[in-house]
Amino acid sequence: MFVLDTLIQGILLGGLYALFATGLSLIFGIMRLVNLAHGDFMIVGAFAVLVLVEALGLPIVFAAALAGVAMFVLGYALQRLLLNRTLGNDILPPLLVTFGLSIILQNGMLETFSADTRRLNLGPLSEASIPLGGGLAAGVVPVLTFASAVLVILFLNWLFYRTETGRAFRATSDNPEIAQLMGIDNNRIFSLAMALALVVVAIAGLYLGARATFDPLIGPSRLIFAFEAVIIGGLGSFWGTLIGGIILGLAQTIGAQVSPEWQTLSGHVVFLIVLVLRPRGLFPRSVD
Amino acid sequence: MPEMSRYQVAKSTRASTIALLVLVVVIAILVAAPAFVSRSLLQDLFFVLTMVVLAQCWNLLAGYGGLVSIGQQAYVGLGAYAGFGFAILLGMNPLVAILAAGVIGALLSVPTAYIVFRLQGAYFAIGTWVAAEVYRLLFAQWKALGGGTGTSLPSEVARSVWGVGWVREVFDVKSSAARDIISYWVALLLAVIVIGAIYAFLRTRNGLALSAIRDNPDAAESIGVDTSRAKLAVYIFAATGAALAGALIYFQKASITPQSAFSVIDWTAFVLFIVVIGGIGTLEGPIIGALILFALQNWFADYGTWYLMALGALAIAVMLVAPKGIWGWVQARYDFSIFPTRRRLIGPDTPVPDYTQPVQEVKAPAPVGVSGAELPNEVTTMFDIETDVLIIGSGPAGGASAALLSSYGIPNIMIEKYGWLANTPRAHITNQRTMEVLRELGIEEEAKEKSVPQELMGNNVFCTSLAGEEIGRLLTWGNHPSRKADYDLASPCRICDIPQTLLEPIIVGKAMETGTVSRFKTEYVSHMQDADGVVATVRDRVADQTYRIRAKYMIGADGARSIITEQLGLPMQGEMGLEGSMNIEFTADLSKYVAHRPSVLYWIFQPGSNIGGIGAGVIRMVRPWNKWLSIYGYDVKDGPPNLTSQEAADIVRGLIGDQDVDVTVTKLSYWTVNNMVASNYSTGRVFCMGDAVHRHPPTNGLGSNTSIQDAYNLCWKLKLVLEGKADENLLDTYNEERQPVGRQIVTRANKSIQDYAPIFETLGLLQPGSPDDIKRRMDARKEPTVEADARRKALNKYFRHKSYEFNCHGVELGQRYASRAVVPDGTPEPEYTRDRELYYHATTWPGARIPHVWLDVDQEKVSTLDLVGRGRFVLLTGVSGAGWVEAAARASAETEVDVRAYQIGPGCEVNDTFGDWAMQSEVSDSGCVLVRPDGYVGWRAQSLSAEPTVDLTRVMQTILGRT
Repeated sequence: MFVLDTLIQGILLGGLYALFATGLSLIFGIMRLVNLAHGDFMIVGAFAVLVLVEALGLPIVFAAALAGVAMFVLGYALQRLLLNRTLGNDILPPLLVTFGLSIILQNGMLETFSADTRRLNLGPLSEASIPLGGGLAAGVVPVLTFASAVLVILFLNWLFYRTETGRAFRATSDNPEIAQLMGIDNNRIFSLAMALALVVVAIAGLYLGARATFDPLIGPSRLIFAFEAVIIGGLGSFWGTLIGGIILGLAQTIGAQVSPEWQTLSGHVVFLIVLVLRPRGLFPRSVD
Repeated sequence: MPEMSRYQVAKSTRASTIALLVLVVVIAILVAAPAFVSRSLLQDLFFVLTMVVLAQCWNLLAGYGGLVSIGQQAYVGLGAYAGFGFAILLGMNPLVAILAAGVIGALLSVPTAYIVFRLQGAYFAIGTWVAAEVYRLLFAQWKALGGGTGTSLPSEVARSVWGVGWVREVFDVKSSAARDIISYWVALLLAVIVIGAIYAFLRTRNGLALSAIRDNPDAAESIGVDTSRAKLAVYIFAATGAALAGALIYFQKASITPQSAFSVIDWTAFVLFIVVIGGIGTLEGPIIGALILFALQNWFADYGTWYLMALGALAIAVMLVAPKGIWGWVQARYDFSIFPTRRRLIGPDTPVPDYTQPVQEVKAPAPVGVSGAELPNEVTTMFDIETDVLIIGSGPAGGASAALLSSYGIPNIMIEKYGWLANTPRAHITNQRTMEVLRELGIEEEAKEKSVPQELMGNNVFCTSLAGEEIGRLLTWGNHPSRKADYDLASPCRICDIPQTLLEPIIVGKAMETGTVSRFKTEYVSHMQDADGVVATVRDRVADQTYRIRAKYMIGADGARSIITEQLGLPMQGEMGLEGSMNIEFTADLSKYVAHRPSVLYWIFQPGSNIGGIGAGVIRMVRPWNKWLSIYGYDVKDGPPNLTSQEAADIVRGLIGDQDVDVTVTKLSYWTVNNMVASNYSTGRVFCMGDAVHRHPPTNGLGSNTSIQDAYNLCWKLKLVLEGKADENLLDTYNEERQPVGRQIVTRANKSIQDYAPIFETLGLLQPGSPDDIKRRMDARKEPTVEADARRKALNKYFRHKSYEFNCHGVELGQRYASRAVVPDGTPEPEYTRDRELYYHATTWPGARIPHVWLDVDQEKVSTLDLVGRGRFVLLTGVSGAGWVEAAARASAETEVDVRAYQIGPGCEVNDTFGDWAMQSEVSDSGCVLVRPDGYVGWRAQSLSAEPTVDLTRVMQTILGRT
């Protein structure tokens, strides 16, 4: 029973990590950009929701939607005005610029919101749980998180493989030069992708803030979880990312049962083991 | 082919040769630097040199090897931990330990590379970060080195550093400075070796291979360049360099935690910014970048988060605008290089540099030894926690210190052994001087709301029991009409009664609200001092872990059982445990006995109630009129009697004199009457205050009040010294000013106990006898005889004499200071026209508290005490005192200490509507009164002097201890 409980918690935690990872995976897949400020943008998203709820008194669903729109605009502008200028053969500029952004975001939030830990209050929902029989229960929020992760991935797969925009995404990803020759405006596509990624980031931020406390400085550690989920799952596959998130979630939950200090560490260890045994991840896209 | 021979391949240029010669000179100067630069500059140089080493290593990795890592903190931390491990656990000399740490870095980099090299490009970057996180989490498990909270370098390891004796002799410095010098030399040596090695390496075949890999891996591989081996070599080299630097840095810091040693910000973000801003892919760039970072840090680090944001923005801007950094721009513009690594083809058309000159070898200075632990002050994140002032104890002294320091903007941490503040009512009389401090802190109103007002405090009843005969009554705490005026005239604040259980949360709440970091259930263990600060070891009683707090100053406010005063060996005079006493807290509705004579204290004279305790039995109001506390004595020779609640309730009922009253005893505690004062309150950077240094019975109600005044006296001095505006010797005046007060109140409180004895004597309660005998002796004073009349007169005199306990306004409010922080104005101390203990004598004589008068600012009634305080000096002058206002502004600018001037009088910012200031100021209209931040007059002038600026500046410099 205890084992089963741990498994359920781990899988549900994996849903959160999959949400963390999807945005990262999306961006890397399309423009080979690793956004080192990814984790910090999640925290920005969480604070955005918090401010809308606490300062304006909006209901959380509405606040989240508004934050999603704001992040979409932010993502588009960020890519258009800044990040597009860093893309190229050299990997250093995008890494450094996003690293710089990460530090600016962390300290900007620290200045604005102080180092206090916060939490998004979902009211009675926060503590509610669904009985699964046999004394087992799953929290409503973790279940919602997991469901959202699945929905986001379903939506992205639909977008990628069933729409015109998705085709442009895939084309640019496969070969940006040729795509451009075919009349695709790469800058626009990249900006759209970043905008989309930041919407996913905002959703991730919402659940990050609802499931646990957050503060302005925890972004980088969440980036690492996202990154590990992507690598474990294998580059280029959203479903792989979900599996990667679940494996990471399970590893951490099981590790935490051994000792709370081992939670993060066991996630890292599983990541390293996967890296040694299957360097391309568990479910890589056949053609990279 | 004669034509071909005109082409040659050159590495050096004439300019680069000259530059290298200059470099050798620079290195020679740097080696000799300890002889002529200050210790703090040397520590700065140490910082720059270590950052240069880390930047060069990262530059080699990313700029030449194309391996963009954001996990180099892994090796800094590894090196640091390995160094500590070798030195502490294996007893290696720190120099050897640094080298061994380098070896460990190299060894562990191989399996790490095996894993992270599976990732490419940006993913490699995050992979290295994960690796660093894994190392951090693993080292946090290493309990022998402190686990998650880290550890400090034991002083014996620090002392074992080679060469300290020699350096001390040659440079004539203290051993801590000598260790700084040795650390600096090792850093210089390391920087020269690393730069030299990278330079040499880049000019070799392998170095060229690297550049080839970076520029085009496929092409390089196709012509036979083995990319993987060259990359691995670079990775191992960078890891080794970082590990050596890490070990060195942390030996200098002398303390380590996993968070700081594996900090991505400190060891990778800053390093990355250094390289990018200075110029990536060049050897010169990291040096320039490190100097720029150092300059920025010196100028802007105080801005904290804004500084980091600006740094991030600067790096982004450089990357977008000038991706080759500052040196890249110089190179492109002037084609100049100090460390030329490129080969250039020189033909007939090429302007020929003098390539025949061989490149100068860079000679490294001989190592002299290696630094171990001295506690440096320039480096960040040295201890688990750092702060400016560490406060031990959260009672009235500690809490007030925290609140005051926070109100002045001084970072402070307050630790408290227990989980919350006072758990028994203890101190309660809150005098006007204390209320003035609370007023400045903005918590006067809150305290008043929770207090019992003056009007309900003062029917001090002397009786045989609450229900029994009232022998006499004294109007106390300024409630006698003749004394009410004295109290009202003296202060904008009213005396009140607020138990410690209610006052402490208000003070500590204010402190925490305004910035104090407080840690409850945290116990002080020990401390050590050095020239720059105090390192205290404290124990978290929840997690049962010890950690260290580094502070520039420490306040020991750890109460009557102070460990700190004992550890410091402060000279204590007097005795502890003179009498035994117990506090019986109880609830009972006593309104029918007290409604017609509300008071905080009811004194019970019964046979035996004079034994031990504070002179007589006491029923003290805690909350009107159902929460009470009885003070009852026991013979200290027999030890605490260990009463049951039932027995305690019996004592209480005896004091009440009504066996039917419903008494519930809620708490029983034992204490002793002490008569002890420290003849010196401080040692070095540790200042003790409150009960730690003055221990006395509650009579006179001065304990908490005096403790808060200790804090009020010290905190502004700490502020000015910490801000670098006053000399450290200003802090000596804390002891000079406060110790005599402590001595006086300890004596006063003990004397008040003894003043009860004659009352018992006169009432005939001291001789044994049956209850009837006693009743007869007590009634003896009621006879119409001469003898009985004498008895009545004596009793009256003794009761009136108790005003020295209960109306002691002069002691409460009239303390005067004499020290170097008070500058005499040449006038003699005004005479005391009335009893100096009973009456407060208002004066602006330097060393006295500024007299209170009501003034008018914008139609608002404002006290002189409202004008002063809040960490500033204030100069009060009259309508003709414009010269002083200007002098104050100039003296402010000169001393950098805020001196706010107010002209008081009609047409001025502050109006003297009642004319009281004119009567009270004791200086002429053009004179001035300079008030210190604690409301004490620091100096005054009878009239405008010939050179007010010169005079005022001189006075300020004297007070600040700078003359």
